[in-house]
This record gives sequence, structure tokens and C-alpha cells, in this order.
Amino acid sequence: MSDKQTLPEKEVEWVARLAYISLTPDETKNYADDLSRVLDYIGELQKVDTSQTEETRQITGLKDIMAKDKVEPTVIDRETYLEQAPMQEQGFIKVKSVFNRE
Amino acid sequence: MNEKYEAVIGLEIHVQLDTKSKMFSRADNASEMAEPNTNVLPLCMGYPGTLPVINGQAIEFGIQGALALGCKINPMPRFDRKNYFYPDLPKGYQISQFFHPVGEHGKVKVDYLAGDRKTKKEFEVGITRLHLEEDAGKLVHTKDATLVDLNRCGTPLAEIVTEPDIKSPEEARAFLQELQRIVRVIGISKADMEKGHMRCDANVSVRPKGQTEFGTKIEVKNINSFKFVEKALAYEIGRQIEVLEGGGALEQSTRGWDEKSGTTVEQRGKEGSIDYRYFPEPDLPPIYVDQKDIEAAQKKMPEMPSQLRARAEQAGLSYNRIAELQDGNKLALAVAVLDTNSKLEAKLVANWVDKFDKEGDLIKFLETVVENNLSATAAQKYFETGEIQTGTGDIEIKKIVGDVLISEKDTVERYKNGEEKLFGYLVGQVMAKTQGRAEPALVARILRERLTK
Repeated sequence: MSDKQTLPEKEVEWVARLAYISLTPDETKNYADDLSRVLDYIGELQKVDTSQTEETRQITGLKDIMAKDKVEPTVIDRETYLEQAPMQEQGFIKVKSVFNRE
Repeated sequence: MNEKYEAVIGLEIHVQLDTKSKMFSRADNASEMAEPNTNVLPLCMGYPGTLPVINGQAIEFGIQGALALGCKINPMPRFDRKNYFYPDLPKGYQISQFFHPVGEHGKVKVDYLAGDRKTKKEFEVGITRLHLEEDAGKLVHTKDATLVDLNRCGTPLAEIVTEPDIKSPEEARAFLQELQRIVRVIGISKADMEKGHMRCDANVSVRPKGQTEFGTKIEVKNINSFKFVEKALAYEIGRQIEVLEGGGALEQSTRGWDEKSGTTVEQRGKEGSIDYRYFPEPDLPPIYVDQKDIEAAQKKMPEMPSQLRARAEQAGLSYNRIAELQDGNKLALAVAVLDTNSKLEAKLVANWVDKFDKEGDLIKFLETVVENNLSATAAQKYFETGEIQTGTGDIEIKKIVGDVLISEKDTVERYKNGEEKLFGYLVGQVMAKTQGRAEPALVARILRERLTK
């Protein structure tokens, strides 16, 4: 990770696919540069010796936070929820068919 | 199945936990009959600014489930994010457990009644892990769109993964049925497959007998009833053998069971090879499970179905009878009665347990039957009318048979000279004298004994 490298565009396309985003060739190239810079920074961080450092999973100091199994009534009604969605139909949130994507 | 091959099967079962609220929010978990999107809180909708809070009951259920499957409990179970984009999960990731599940390294011994309804068969299945996670929403596909109902989104699930120890569709079904009984007896799930409380995927491969390395693994999804488990696996095993026998090669893939055609159908991959990019869930503070709590949970564990069956066998019940009573949910009652009443015959208890729900009522009834030496017919009459009709016991019938043999002397002579059809007439005469109260089979047996003397 010492030498600066550009992330292959194939990798960028793969990440875009996982996020269901379509990119133009220009965007792909730009993201390759941007993401490479992020990776370079991670490369810098990786130079730090952490062999003696305990893993930080969280920083709140809280533990064993659990709720009682009790139903709380919903304060927002369905209409309000559905209004936030771009499309709705018969009480459902309506989205583009998952079978005809891309 | 082709004799040259053997099947290797591992199962992944999702069990819906019977909590009142969801895994990470206090939205109502009873969504079966609810109108779409009515059991949702902002967390279920994936709104920004919402935070998950673990349902303590779900953790307890997970520990109980893991213990019942013989798993070692992780002192620090952790939750992780499983990232994927799909409309059934609006926040873009599922909170699951990848690195540190609730329980690991379990083992379940299964005994079951084979297809011939006579033989008892036994096998053992290793449990790789039991982990907790939240369910996704439900999608309904219309012609031009996908409709999303997020009621089920966030419902707590225990995912149970087995080792590839299962060798036939019959064993797979037996294991699933045993798992259903286990989670029901410990009370963590209603485990109704038809209602989707228990969902099963299977990893299936075949290999020539004697080969140690595994064949190509195919995942079969969407097997949602006990019947389909057997059918789908039998079909898939046959299909794989056919491909190999035809000189073809199998490719690792996912197939869905299609009920209508009775076949498994190749499914289009969701996103090619899957890349979930798991990482520890930062929104949940860690939980620690005390050894003391594990021991307390272990102590509270009810009798497992296999232990109950073993006790039933000791009490003298035949294995096929045990299986029958178990299917009818009457085995525990039968064993309880036999345990406290060693004088009662196992078969008699098994014959009547179906008709009673309370132990005391069944015992009282059976004691009356035994004390009065009632035949099956008389016992049935007593059950229906509450009246005890005497005169149908062995001794009484023997006496009537004796009388009939004297009064029907000529007929008896003709019978002995070869007119065998007269036997029925003689039975009829005895029956008439008991006003039809005697059991015909018993009359026939006693009559035959006397006639062959």
C-alpha cells in the first residue's frame, strides 16, 4: 500500500453494482480517483503499529443495553409513512419491479 | 436413489421467535393478520436518526434455543451488519450475527419412525451455529412493480445451520420435525411451517460412494413444508446424479423449489457472487452473557422430545405408537399417566389417551375399565354413556359360549364335520345373548378355543 495506485475501474463498477447505482464512464473514472485517495489514506493509517492495541468496537462505554419485550403503539399512521415514499399502492410502498432492474 | 451415489445434505433453518415486539424496535411482532405497513415504527422503515435497541427476550430465546441444540454459548455474542440493497430492507443492511453467534458446536440426536411406519431409525446432526438476526419485509410482485410491506421487517429470527451430516431426504424431514418439536417445547417459536415461522434452505450435493471429498454444492431454497423438503431434495438428488451419469458437470448455484412443476429451478443470482461486507454493528453496545445465566437457563430447560420418547419406550409403548401419539400431541400425557400408574397397561393407555386432555380424568376412566374388566366395546359404551354394563367380560362370555354350545349341539356337530361357515352363526348366537354388548373378536376367540378342544 506504499505506492499510490489507482483503483481499477472494474472495482468501481463492482461497488456501484452492489449499491444499485449506475455510473457513466466519466463518473467511473472520477470515482476511481476519489476512492483511490480514500484507500491511500487507509494505507497511511495501516502504517501505525496496532499490535498492542485493543480493538475498539464502540466508544460509549455502555453494555448490556436491552429493552423489555413490550409493544409500543405506533404514533405515526400508515398514511404518513406512505406519503414519504415516492409511490404507493393499496397500503404498500411501491417500487420499480425487482425483476426488471438495470 | 442410484446405488452408486450418496447424498450429502446440510440445512439452514430460520425460526421466527415468538416475542411480542421486534428484534430491535418495540413495534408489534404479530403481523400475520395485520394490514400492510401497520406494524411499523420509524426504525423498521429505515428512517435516518433511528437507533436499534436489542430485545432482551429475543436474546434469552436465542440462548435457550442454542442450549436445546447442545451448543456452546458465546459469552460475548455480537451483532454485525450484513450489507445489501434490496427493497425488502430499506436501511440497506440487515443486523445479523456473523463473527460471534449466540451458540456454536451443537449436536442433535434424532430418532424417528421410518417410512414403513415400523422401524425406528437414528442419526446425529452437528449444529454449526445458531445466530440471531432481524427478518426483512415482504415483497409482492405485480406485473410492472414490486410492492413492499414492512410489517415483518425486524421480526426476530434464529438461524440454525447444520453440518452436512444429513444423508437422505427422509432424514432431512425427520430433523426438521424434531427441530420443530424442540423449539415448541422450549416455547421460543410457534414454528408453523405453513405460516412461515420456520423456513428451510438446503445445501445438497452427491458423490460416488466411498469418495471423501464433497461434490458440487447446490443450494435449494423455498422449501416451506415438511412434504416439500422430502420431495425437493429427492428431486434435486436425482437431478444431480442424472447430470453426472450423463457425463456432465455441476456448477455451484442456487435453485428454487417449484411446487407446481415438482422440480427445482435455477434462480437468477441476486447480484452475482454475493459480497455482504460484514462488519461489527456500531449502533449496539456489547452484551455479555453470564455463566450463571447460562446455567440457570440450562436448569429451566424442559424435557426434550427425544427424552420423552425414551421414557415412553421404557414404559412399554411400541415405537410406532409413540410416533403416532407424538404427532397427535398426546405422548406427554400418556407417559405421565404410565409413570404414576405402573399397573395400567401401556397399550390401554395409548388407546384412550386421544380422548382425554386431563391426566386425572384419563386415570379415573382407565381405573374403572380395569376394575370392571371391561372389553373394548364396553369401555367405549362407558365412555359414551357413563354407564358400566357388566356381563361382557371374559368370564361372562365363556359362560354364554358354554350355554350356546349345548343349545346348538346339532350345529356344532355340523361345524365339526366341515361346515365351517356355521362359525359365524354361532358367534351371532353368543352376541345375541349378550344383547350385542360383547366384543365380536373376543367372542370369536373364545368360541374357537372351545371348538378346537
